[in-house]
Parts: sequence; C-alpha cells; structure tokens
Amino acid sequence: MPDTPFYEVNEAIVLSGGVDLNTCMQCGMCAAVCPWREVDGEFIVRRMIRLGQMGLEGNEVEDILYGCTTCNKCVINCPRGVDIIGIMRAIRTMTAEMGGTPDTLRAVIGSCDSNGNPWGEKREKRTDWMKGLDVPAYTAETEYLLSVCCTSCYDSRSRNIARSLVKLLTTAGVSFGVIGVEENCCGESLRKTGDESGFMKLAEANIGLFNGRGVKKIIVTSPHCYHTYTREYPEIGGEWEVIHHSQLLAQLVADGKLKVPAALAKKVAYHDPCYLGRHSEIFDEPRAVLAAAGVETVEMPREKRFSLCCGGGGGRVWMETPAEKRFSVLRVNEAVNAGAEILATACPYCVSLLEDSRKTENLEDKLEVLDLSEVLLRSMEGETVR
Amino acid sequence: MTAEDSKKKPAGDEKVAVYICHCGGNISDHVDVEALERMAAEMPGVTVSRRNHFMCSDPGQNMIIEDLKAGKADRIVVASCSPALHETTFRRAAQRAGVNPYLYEHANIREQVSWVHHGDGATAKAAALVGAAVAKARALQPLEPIRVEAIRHATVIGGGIAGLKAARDLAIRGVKVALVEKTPFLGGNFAKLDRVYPTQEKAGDLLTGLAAAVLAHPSITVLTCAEMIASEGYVGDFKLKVKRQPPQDAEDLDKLIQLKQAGTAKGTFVPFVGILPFDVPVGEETVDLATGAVVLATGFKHYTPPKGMYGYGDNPEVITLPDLIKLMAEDTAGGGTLQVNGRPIKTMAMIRCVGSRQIPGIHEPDEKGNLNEYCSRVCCTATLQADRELREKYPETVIYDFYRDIRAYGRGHEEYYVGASRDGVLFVRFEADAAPAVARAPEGSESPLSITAKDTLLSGQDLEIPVDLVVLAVGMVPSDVSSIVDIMKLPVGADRFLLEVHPKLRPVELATTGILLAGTCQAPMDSTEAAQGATAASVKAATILSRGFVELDPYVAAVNADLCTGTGACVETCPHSGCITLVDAAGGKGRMAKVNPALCTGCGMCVAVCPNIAIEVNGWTLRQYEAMVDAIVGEPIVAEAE
Repeated sequence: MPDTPFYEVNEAIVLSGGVDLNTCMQCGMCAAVCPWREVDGEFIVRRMIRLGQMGLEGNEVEDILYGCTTCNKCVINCPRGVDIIGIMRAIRTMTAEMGGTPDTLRAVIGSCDSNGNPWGEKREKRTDWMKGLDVPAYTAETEYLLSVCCTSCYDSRSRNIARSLVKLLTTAGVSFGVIGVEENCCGESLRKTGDESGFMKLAEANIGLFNGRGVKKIIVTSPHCYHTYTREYPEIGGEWEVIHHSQLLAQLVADGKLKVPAALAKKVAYHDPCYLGRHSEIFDEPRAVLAAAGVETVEMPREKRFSLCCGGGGGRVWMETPAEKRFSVLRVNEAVNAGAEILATACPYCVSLLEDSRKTENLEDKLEVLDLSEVLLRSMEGETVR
Repeated sequence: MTAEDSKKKPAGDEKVAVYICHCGGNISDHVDVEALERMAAEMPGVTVSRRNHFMCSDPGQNMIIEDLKAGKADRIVVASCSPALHETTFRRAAQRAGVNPYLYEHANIREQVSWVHHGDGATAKAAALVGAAVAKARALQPLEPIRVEAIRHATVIGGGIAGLKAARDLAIRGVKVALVEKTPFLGGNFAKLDRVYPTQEKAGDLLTGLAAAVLAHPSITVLTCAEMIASEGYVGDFKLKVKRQPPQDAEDLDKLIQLKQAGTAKGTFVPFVGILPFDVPVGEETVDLATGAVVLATGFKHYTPPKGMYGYGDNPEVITLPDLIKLMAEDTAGGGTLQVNGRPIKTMAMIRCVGSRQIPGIHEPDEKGNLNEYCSRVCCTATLQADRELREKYPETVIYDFYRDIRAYGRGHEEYYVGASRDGVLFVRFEADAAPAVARAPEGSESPLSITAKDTLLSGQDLEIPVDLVVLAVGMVPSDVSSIVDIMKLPVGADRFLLEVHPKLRPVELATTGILLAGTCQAPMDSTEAAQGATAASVKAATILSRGFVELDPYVAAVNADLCTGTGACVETCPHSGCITLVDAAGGKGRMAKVNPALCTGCGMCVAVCPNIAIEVNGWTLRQYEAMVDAIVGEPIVAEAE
C-alpha cells in the first residue's frame, strides 16, 4: 500500500523548532559522518529528516527517535548548515506532546520536576559530595559560583571530579562558592529529549536563583551546563560570565597559581567531549592543562572536530544501549591502541560512559578514565614521579 | 620513387629548417627528440635542424626568426602539437622574419604521436611525419591571402532577446543592421516570461528598454513578418532575399486581434505577446539585403508533451510551466491558495525533465524518431523560481516538486534552490525508469488527480499524493529552421540545434565565415546566456566587418589554363553554388573553369573529378601530396649515432 504524505506534520515540526527541516536537500552527509554508522545503529539521521519532511511514519521507534546523541558532527559538516539538532528536538517535542515519551525518560523528567535533578535522588542530597571537604558557600563577596553538574553531585564515581576541582581551586586561592541544594539541573538533556516545559521550569528556577544571589561569574564542571548557560539561558534572562573548569585550570596554571612540582609519568590520550569541542570550540585549554601536568600525550585517530561521541548526549545517557552498539566501547579501545594509560576528558557524561566501557571491555588493568582536574591533582600531589 | 632516388634528385635548391618541440616533456618523454633532430638533419633539403623545450615560447620563435633572417633556410617545418593550437603562431614568426607565411608546414608529433604511442615506435612515427612535412615544405609555393571587400552591414535573423541584443550591440559598433523577424512582434519567447531570474526583474521592462533602443537607432532597420528566402555570396558580401507578407500564423492573428481590441499603442510591450512595432504588411514584398555578416538568433520552442504523457491533454488540470507562469502573472488577486478556473489549488505537483534528458529504451521517441537526450538547463531554475513565487504568493498551496536531479548551475541559481527548500517546497526524487504516474482520482475524491511515485530518498517507498494541479517543466526544442539550414547549408547537431565550430576555440562561429549564432538556436540556454551569446556574435561580426575587407586563407581551388578543356565536371560537383563557373578561355580556345575564391572552401571535390588534373587546391596540390606519400613510404632515414 502506498503511503500518503502528511504535510501538516512537516509544518508542525517547523513550528516546534525544526526550522531548517525543509532546507535539508537529503545529500546524506549527516548520515555518513554520524557515529551510529560505526555500530550499524537503526538511527539514520537523513532518513529521519526525510520522514519528517514527508510527514510519514517510521520515526516513532524509540531507538530511532532518541538515537541522536546531538554530538553536532553532522551539523558542522552539513553543506547547507541545517540545524539538524533542532529538527531532532522538534520531532521529540512533538512526540512528547502526544504522550510518546518512553518510560526511562519519564522517570528522568519526573525526577527533574520533583527533585531538580535527573538522578532520582532527593534535592537535600545534592551537597553530599562535599562531605569531608571544606567547600565555601556562595556569598555576595564570592567571585565565582561553582555550579556542579548533577552527575558529579550524585554519581559516586563522578563526585571525585567535583572534589578534585575544589582542592585545585582552594590551592590556587580562587574565590568560589556553592549555593547547594537550591540549585537545579541545567535542563540540557530535558530540552534535547523534547521536554520543553520541563526545561523552561528548571531554567527559570536557576536564572531566578543565580540572579537573586547576584551571581556574575560561574564555573561549570560539565560542557552540557556550559552550552546551556552560554547558548540557551541568555535568551531567557540568564547572562553571566561562564567558564568551564578546563579553561579556568589552564588559566591558573598559566598564571603560576597552580604549580606542578613533578611530571606524572603516564601516557595520556585526551577525548574531546562533543559539547566542549564541536559545540563550544574549546580545544586548546584542556590540552594546555595536560601539558602542565607534564604527562606524555598520545594521539587517538579522531580528535577535536572529528572526536568520537561517547554516546551520552541528547538524553541517551539515561537510556540503555547494548554493549555492541556503544560508541564508548570503540573509544576506550582506540585509546588503548594509541598506547594511552589514561584516557582524560572533561565531561561527567564522558567519564561515566567511558568508565563503564573500560570495565565491560576488561581494560581495567590497561586504562584509567579521568577528568582533567583529576589528572592535574594527581600530578600536583606527586603520585608518580618521573 | 625510393628514398635513395629522392636523395639523388633533390627537388631544387629549397632550404628547409626543421624545429622539434619537447613540449616540456609532453613530447620528449616518449619521442627520442635528439635522435629525431639528427634524423631530420639527414632529410633531403634540410639545412637546419634544432630542438627547444617550448617552440611556442619567445626563445623558440626567435630561433626561427634568426635562422630565416640569416638565410640559413627559406621555409620551415615545426614538429610540435596540433596545428589547431600553434600553426598561426609559427606562420606569424615566418612573416616577422620576412618569409612568406605559407612556406610553412606543421608536423603534429604530440596528439598524433607522443600522447598515443610510446618507445621506438613513437620516434619512428614522428620521423615519418617530419619527413612528410619536409617533403611537402620543399614543394610549397608562396601564397597570398584572399582579400574580400566587406560591407559594413549585418543581418540579424530573429527578434527575441538574443536578436535584439545582437542588433543593438552591432549598431553600437558602427555596423548597419537589418533585423529580420518572422512574426509581427518583437520579444520572442522572452516576452512570455513574467519575472526573470536571477534578478527578478520584469521581462517586460527589460524588453521595453531594449526594443526601444533598437527601434530608435538610426542604423537598425527592423523588418517584421519577414523571412529569409534566399542567400548567396560570402563573408563581407552576402546577398539575402527577404520576403515580407501578411501574417498567416493563427496564434499571431489572434494576438493582433487582441491588441486591436485592447487599443494598445504600437511599440508598447504587451505581456505574453511582445511588442508590435509597426502595422503588418498588407501585401507581399521582397527585400534584397546586401550584408557582410549574418547573425542567426532563431530561438527555440517549448517542448509540447504528447497526449497522455503525465496525463497531459487528457486532464485539464495538467499544464506546462509556461502555462503556469502566464496564469500566475495574470492572477492579480493572490490569496491563500492559487486558484485555477475557480478551483483552489491546495496541493500541486511539479514534474521536471519533461521532454529533456530522455533515455533510449526508457523514453519514447517522437513521431519523427527524435529523442531529446540533452538537458534543457533552464527548467531547473525556472521551476525553482516558480516554486518560490507560488509559496510567497499562495502560502497555503503545498508543492511537491518531482525531480531527477536539480541542476541549479548558474550564478544566483543555488539561492533559488535553497530558498524554495526553506519555503517548504517538498522535493521528491525519482529515477527516469520509475517516473511519477498521474491519474484521475476516483469519483468523489477531494482532489481531481492522484500521483503515484517512488521516493528514492526513502529506498523507493511507494507514495500516493492527491493533487489539484500538475505542472510539467517542459524543456526546449529548436525552432524549425529547416529552410534556413537548406538555404545557407548550415551544420546541425544530433540534438537538432545549430552547431558551432568549437565550444571553446571558436564559440558562436559556424564553419562558413561570416555566419554567427546567438542564443537558443544553438543550444538550450537561459536569457542571461542568450544575451551573452548575442554579444559574442555581434562583437565577432563587427570585428570581421570593421576593416572594410576580409582576409581569407588562400587554400582555394585554382585552374591550370593550359590543361583545362572545359569539361564542366568541377562545376557540377562543386557544393557551393556560384563558386566555379565556365567562362570563355583566352584566345578563343573554347570554355574553361573559373573559381570565385571567396566562395571556395578548399574542399577538393573538383580536384577529384577533373579528368585533366587541371584544377588543384593551393597549398594542397597533388604534387605536394605525392611528395608526402613518397617520404612516408620511402626507406626510413637512419640517424648516425653521435
């Protein structure tokens, strides 16, 4: 039976934010550079756009609809500059409005709504990561608000990133402080999964909170928060000087405020997180931090703009992906093959997914996955002296 | 005659200089140029044999000039690339050295040797070609170019955008012009456009200005309702007969009645008609034109789909792109949806490549067996333009645009494609052998037509789309110019458009000097390109006529009065009427042949039929041919090793 296109769907996607839907000429460049092609995933970005243009069925399958990790590789390669992520978001928004959100995401959305975090944890536990550390509270006199990603507030592995960073900031004498339990998730992954109203609720709460406390400068620990605070909040009243911790650490090292007495004798590969690299074009500062740590850097085949997504963006960090379809599996093997002993990165999602794949691939003896702050702290503490 | 014989019996005291070009390795990588240089030195009559990396360079040419000036040689052979590239270069070098430029022979050892042969065989063939060239060079006679007086007058045939532009550009360059237009109107197909891409100007505005300039120019005579019926003569001095008669064409008569009823003033642009500059003739008259050059701007016709193709002719809802353009231009109401005959068009389809890019075995030839395998080039951007204008004017009309490929090739064209996409036009790609099918929808359906198609972008998924209107983006076919082709003996391509000599080396020129092409008579092109072609043709025509005379190559037939007995065989065979005639021989010795060199193209057919070998083509005499053949079949010359 032939299908009849439904142009109203096309118009609805455009109205929901997929403004470039029809600008796509179906050349297929997006699908060719998409990381899903490396694991033969069901998600084919060109086809999804085509079905959207024609208003045909086929996009509602969960692994297709929520396949895109919003890694931005297709967007920067698109010859017509199509905002492909906007189209993905719009199609998910329409699905959400029709009640089609899958259960796994419903739980995340519900937790954000009731707890202000996607982890299903109580708001009061947001500051548990600080236990045993002297973390200053944010006051009117504080220079920087330290906005810790929910992942690093609640996830036990990720908490070490926040703790390492606090130690470094304290050593360097940076004026910073944490607001704490009143903070909310930035909302980045909610927006990408199509929950526009959930995102707006979190965003407005955060903007009200930060502005109410007179925040001017923010240190973020996640490239996802960085993207949201710099690209999305300004349109709705949140405008601050935002700095990712990799940038601040590079600055502190350059200014001589953090001194590394001896080099860390490890081979380190750096994994560019999508939202820090391709989205925000921050490529040099993380490498400067590694250089300061004195490690020997090794190159993986794909770097900077060509970096391979870990698989955690676009809300996929909350969804189940079978081991044989995980980009992070490819990535940890790439690091080992490049001769790395440490795979360093600068994003809590990347750390989580790469850590997980390191274990499932039985690479625990060969490879460590660390955040930049952890690498720098280790070398400062002189853990291994060359 | 053997090579030994020719060595013993040199043809005379001719001194030949041979120059061998390396072409920067193009030749010398495959031909042993040093051995060739030594072999050439051994050839009979050769007094100088040299090599150079690039003979066409200044040092290469200076080498020739110095040798000739020093009297080391009196004629030259250059062994290099194709004569099409540098024959003129080396002739001029000889001329600069004070030597007759026709005492020159060319050996092509690149295209005919080094690019196609390698090793010893390549060098041997190069030596044979150089040997033949030397043998011919020894037999060459000095020649003088033929000078023909040129009338500073050109005739432009066709009054569309290209013809008008050519006429104006010629007049600006001081050439008198006759503009011959078949219909009563100026403007041609250009008058049937509303706005033109890529500027979105009104075609009528452009045409009004251009036609006014043509009509007002004192050097231009415009003849409407006029057709060329005879042509004689040659570049600089064509004699054309033009017949003017009352219009016969039903469409033209209909337009005239419309204009009369509307009371439109003469010289005013009327959309989709053109400009009526004067009253039409009431009787028949013949006008004689003495003209130096002819610019053909005979234009094109839109392809008419056969009945049944995509439902055309069977369904009133299936129209062509020109129909749509007119329909939109005449709809001043606008509104949410396009209305056709009072019916709202909620959904419509464009279908591209109709009558273009036809493939043998997939598409049916027309009743004459013709298949339009070419791309009409204009329809892609014209359809995109219509898409954009529709979406802007009727935002509620949904457009499905069925295409095989989109070729938005020109400056500013891609912007139409991106724009139409952004405007929400849905492009659906199809394969030539799985084209969309248009059928009437079942009774009671909301839309009168239904299109079934396969979406190649969804792995051939079957689609069924109800539509209210189907627009066929028809291509271009050449105007019927068979009578002009017969009269002037013009070359026609396999696509039935007129054929220029070479698209890069001699664009817009025909092999017959003085006849030039402007616009779509030559190939499908848009009005921008047609205007460019018109300017090119007019500049070439003006250049030919500007000196008051034309110099032609002297390779024309010449009669040997001693041998000619007036058989008339040459006169019968000659393909150019009036070129050879029989005249009284001097001294009352009966009749003999006489050649008009301006009409002769040097084809040599007369030479072949003359029983007395009394007629020969200068520069290509039988003796020269024999000398070349003898050199090739004679014993190869062996160079002594150094």
